[in-house]
Amino acid sequence: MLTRTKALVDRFFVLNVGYVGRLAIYLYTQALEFFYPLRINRIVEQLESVGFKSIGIILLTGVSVGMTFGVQVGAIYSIFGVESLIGSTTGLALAVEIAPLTTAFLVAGYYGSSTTAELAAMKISEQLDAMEAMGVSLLNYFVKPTVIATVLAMPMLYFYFMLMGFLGAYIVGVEMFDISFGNFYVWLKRYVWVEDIVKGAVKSTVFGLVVALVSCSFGLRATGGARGIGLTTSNSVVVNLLAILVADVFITYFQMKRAGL
Amino acid sequence: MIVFEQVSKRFGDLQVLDGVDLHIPANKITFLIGRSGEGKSVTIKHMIGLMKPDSGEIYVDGKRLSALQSDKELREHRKKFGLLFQHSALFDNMDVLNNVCFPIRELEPDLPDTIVEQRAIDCLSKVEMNKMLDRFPNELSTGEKKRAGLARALASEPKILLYDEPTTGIDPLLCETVDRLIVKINNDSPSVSSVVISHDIKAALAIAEKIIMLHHGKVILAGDAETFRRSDNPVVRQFLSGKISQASAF
Repeated sequence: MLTRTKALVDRFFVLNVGYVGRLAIYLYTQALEFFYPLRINRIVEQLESVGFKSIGIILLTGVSVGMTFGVQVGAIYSIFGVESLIGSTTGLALAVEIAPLTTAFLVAGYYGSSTTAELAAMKISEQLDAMEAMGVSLLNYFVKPTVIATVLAMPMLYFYFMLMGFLGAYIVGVEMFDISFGNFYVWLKRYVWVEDIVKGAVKSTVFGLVVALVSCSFGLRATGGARGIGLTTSNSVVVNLLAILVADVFITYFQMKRAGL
Repeated sequence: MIVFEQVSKRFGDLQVLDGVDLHIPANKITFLIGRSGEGKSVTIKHMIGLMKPDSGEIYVDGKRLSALQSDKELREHRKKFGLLFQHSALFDNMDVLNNVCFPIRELEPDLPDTIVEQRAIDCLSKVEMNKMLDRFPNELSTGEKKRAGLARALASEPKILLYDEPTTGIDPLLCETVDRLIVKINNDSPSVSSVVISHDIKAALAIAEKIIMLHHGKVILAGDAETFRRSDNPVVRQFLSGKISQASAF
């Protein structure tokens, strides 16, 4: 059915649109090859690993980072009597930088490393060879579901981290610097715009892609025994962190340039 | 059915296959024997298309493997094979039943779960593992792992069953059990061809219908058990006697 539909679409483009049509066919075929066959159950499994299982750790880290940042900023602001700005400063920093970066580091640390270690162990014990020998595409079975799940989960995890960070900063603001909820919220709303959250979500999505690709490629190319698994996993984590930081520099530069800064 | 023509493969300075010519007949048990490191496992990886030769041609069912260009064509080619790995290579995140169901689900995704499971249980019954469906690989002994691995190899109903050193590292009694299983499966499924990679000459002489011996990357003798028993080739004689001569000790 799918092949027939594809043949009809191809024929329509070739007959009606010429060169542009052929280009469109190429792009369409590439997209089709990436998204078909999609292993929904594998994507759900990976979403569970990268998403649901990280809720606790994101909560703890988000609140801690928000509180720590709130204390540091609040200590300086209290000298000038502008403690009410804790919400806006912490909120902006969390939205555009701290939340996407820390979420990516956390995901690279626990999900990326476990993905690499699992694939490396499977490679070394010939489990991946067994799959290939059965005609299973490792790209379809491992790489695509991991990429799709991570790219989908990261913006959500970022948003969740940011909210937990706001909560941490709010607790500090109320408990240590005597600011009211209204004061915290008004300044937060005034300086943290939807555009800032979109910027953070875009960063998170790119970081998710980086983590998925780096983790899978290291795992699939693992060699050696137990030492090989350890080395591959630690190398994967280091490359993940560096790649995230480099990607952050470029994305921030383009986002700033686009904003005219 | 499987034909190698002048197949060579080199890894760095090591020439593993050096102009190998071999013919594996259909519907028979063929043993590929030789000392460790003589390229036996590399040979079966070439058959499945997991490795490509540096030179030479490989034909499976008359089809030239070098003509298979895309990943899709290669995956279709691999579906003809069932492979029992040396260390079984069972998926350690799945129980025995799901390990055997895996290739069926992959090859026939539209098949209802009940039918998939029944087929898997049938395969496990053939190797007497149908009482251990919910065991995980880390709860199985080496022999049980081998049997579960064999059931998984059978599950996709392959035309060619490849056994990669099925008796290496297991006790003599278990070796005999595995050898009997190979014969039983060949008798139960006459259309299946079995290719056994081994250095167990006793098993080869007992159950093989054709034996091919690799030495220093070349086929030095091919024929039935009698051909091997009568051979005066010193390497074959040495392999049969199991004694190391001064000249070829290292």
